[in-house]
Amino acid sequence: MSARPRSPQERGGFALLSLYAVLIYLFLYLPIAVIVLFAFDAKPIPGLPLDTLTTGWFVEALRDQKLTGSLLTSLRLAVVSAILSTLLAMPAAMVLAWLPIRFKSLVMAMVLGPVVLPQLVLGLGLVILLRSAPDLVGEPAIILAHTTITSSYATLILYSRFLGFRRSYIEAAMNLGASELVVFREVILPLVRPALISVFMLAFTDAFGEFVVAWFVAGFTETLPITIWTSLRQVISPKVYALSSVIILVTLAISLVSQLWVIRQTRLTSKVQTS
Amino acid sequence: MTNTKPPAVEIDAITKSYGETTAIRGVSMDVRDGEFVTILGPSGCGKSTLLRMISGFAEPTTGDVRIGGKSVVGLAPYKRDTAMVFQDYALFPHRTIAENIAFGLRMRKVERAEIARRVDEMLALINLSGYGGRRVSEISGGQAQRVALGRALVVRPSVLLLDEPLGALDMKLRKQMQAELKKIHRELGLTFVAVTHDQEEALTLSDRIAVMNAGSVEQFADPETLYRRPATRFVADFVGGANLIDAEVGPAGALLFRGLPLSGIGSDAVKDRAIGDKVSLVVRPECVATSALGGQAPGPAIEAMVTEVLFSGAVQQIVGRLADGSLFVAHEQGLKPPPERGSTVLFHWDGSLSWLVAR
Ligand SMILES: Nc1ncnc2c1ncn2[C@@H]1O[C@H](COP(=O)(O)OP(=O)(O)OP(=O)(O)O)[C@@H](O)[C@H]1O
Ligand SMILES: [Mg+2]
Repeated sequence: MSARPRSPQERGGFALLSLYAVLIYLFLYLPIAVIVLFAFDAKPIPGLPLDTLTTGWFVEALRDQKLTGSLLTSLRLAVVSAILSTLLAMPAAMVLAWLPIRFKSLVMAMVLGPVVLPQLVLGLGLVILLRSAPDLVGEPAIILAHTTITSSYATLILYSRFLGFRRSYIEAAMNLGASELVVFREVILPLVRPALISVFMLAFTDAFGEFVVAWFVAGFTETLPITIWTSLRQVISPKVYALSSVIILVTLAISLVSQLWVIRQTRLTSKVQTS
Repeated sequence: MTNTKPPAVEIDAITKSYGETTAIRGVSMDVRDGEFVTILGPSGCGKSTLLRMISGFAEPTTGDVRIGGKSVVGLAPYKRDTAMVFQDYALFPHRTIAENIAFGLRMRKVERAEIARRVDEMLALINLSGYGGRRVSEISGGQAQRVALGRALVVRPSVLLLDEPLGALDMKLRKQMQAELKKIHRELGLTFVAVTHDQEEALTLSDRIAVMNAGSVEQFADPETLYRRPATRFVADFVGGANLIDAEVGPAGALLFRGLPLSGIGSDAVKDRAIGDKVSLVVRPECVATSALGGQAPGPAIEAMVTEVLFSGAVQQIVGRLADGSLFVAHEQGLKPPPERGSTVLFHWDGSLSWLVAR
């Protein structure tokens, strides 16, 4: 296919396509690159041109208790939300995928609600609701909000995975003497584990970075996005860039590794031989 | 067969409805201990449904299922002593071959050493010694079929259920697995209940065959009886393929085809029938020969126009069209010069080999 000599017209098209791809990637990664670059700028107010480079801001960032404190808060809350939303989504997805239920499309559409709803609306709604439960403002409310948002698409993603799950695995296990609980532990869980992990990771990163709704219900709790937002009003310290670059790199690495792992697992377990 | 054991499986006046549709309409049959029974029928006739009611994945709407004399209606699948070979095998992809086979034993809390011993034994029986450590994705379709069989057999179920066990295999492998299945059945002496829509497979494998059509069992008998003495027109047609002459019982023991008596039919062929009964005469192609019109046929005979001659060496298939438009086939030996296409000839057969069924 590629060995065929190209006509000038085709070559022009190819060049255009390449240019387009480069622009897209620039558009996607330039802001990230800028952040990483500025993290090494020695000037207290980062900006071009970069004269002297330093790694000092990384140390400074780790010393800044406000910054590290909000990072830990964000990590903690995101883990809890991701666990909750995966736990909530799994049984819901199992029911939707495997049991005959009435008004299925209506139920599905309603599950999707929190995703398609503008976050401002969701945040506002939560603020009104929380007036009757002021004790929840802060961490519980943030967890609640993020669980709501992420569990809705977690359910849909798991649902589509479960649709493809062969019921005969379950029947085969039962037929060989496994009770419902054992079937779940021995067959369903190992087979859907890759899907669960990828859904967990997705929910985690989403909850970790979510700002708008958290802002509405946070009270005095400071998550990392809130801290960064607040610091925007003053001059942005290079410490923020340093911390952000670390987070970006770690996130990219985790998502890459987990995607590769999931693909490998899925390949291992879904290859099925018929004649 | 002088045992006093209760039948391995008793299906007692079962019906099964899914809402409006009735999948099973009144089926009763017994499977003897150690027997190989096949449920044969066209797609959608309810074969799988019947099997699923034995294994516990479906409950009968009315009627009773007994395994070893005990009713199992309402009993969960995992509490029934049946094991099933699934059509798609359903081997656990996250486990090795050995782990797949060991699964049922682990569920039965058999101790470790014993499990290892029995898994090895089973791997040997299914000709897969040395394959225990492989993953499901690393074996062929035929091997997967044997693993599915081994996984079910290793728990020594009182009934082994097989849903289209060879359906996913190609022709050659299928023949080979039929022989192996038969051998394993003979060696282990377990009760096998299989489902298939392949009549040849059913005839080869089974001690008895239940022929199903639209939710009912039309005939439950051994292969020879099914072939030689089919109970219904459907069975005659479905098992082995047959020429069917739709006729009517006439006076004085005659069989009327389009109002005229068929030649050479003895009056004892219609002795239990009343005048006016609509019947079909079942004539297997291999007992039919052709001869020129006007000759003297030794037995019953019917005129037909030759539409096709299919030569395949030892056997040639001569297809004729009867006066009522239906086809009539003769399998003649290949050495004989065939009649010309388009000519009208006499198809005749040995009257003791044809058989009358109600229509
Ligand atoms: N869960 C179900 N809900 C509704 N109808 C069903 C269900 N299972 C089976 N049926 C219907 O019952 C009838 C018998 O189905 P069954 O699966 O037993 O057929 P089968 O003989 O095994 O066919 P095949 O050879 O195609 O597997 C069919 O008409 C089918 O549509
Ligand atoms: Mg079926």
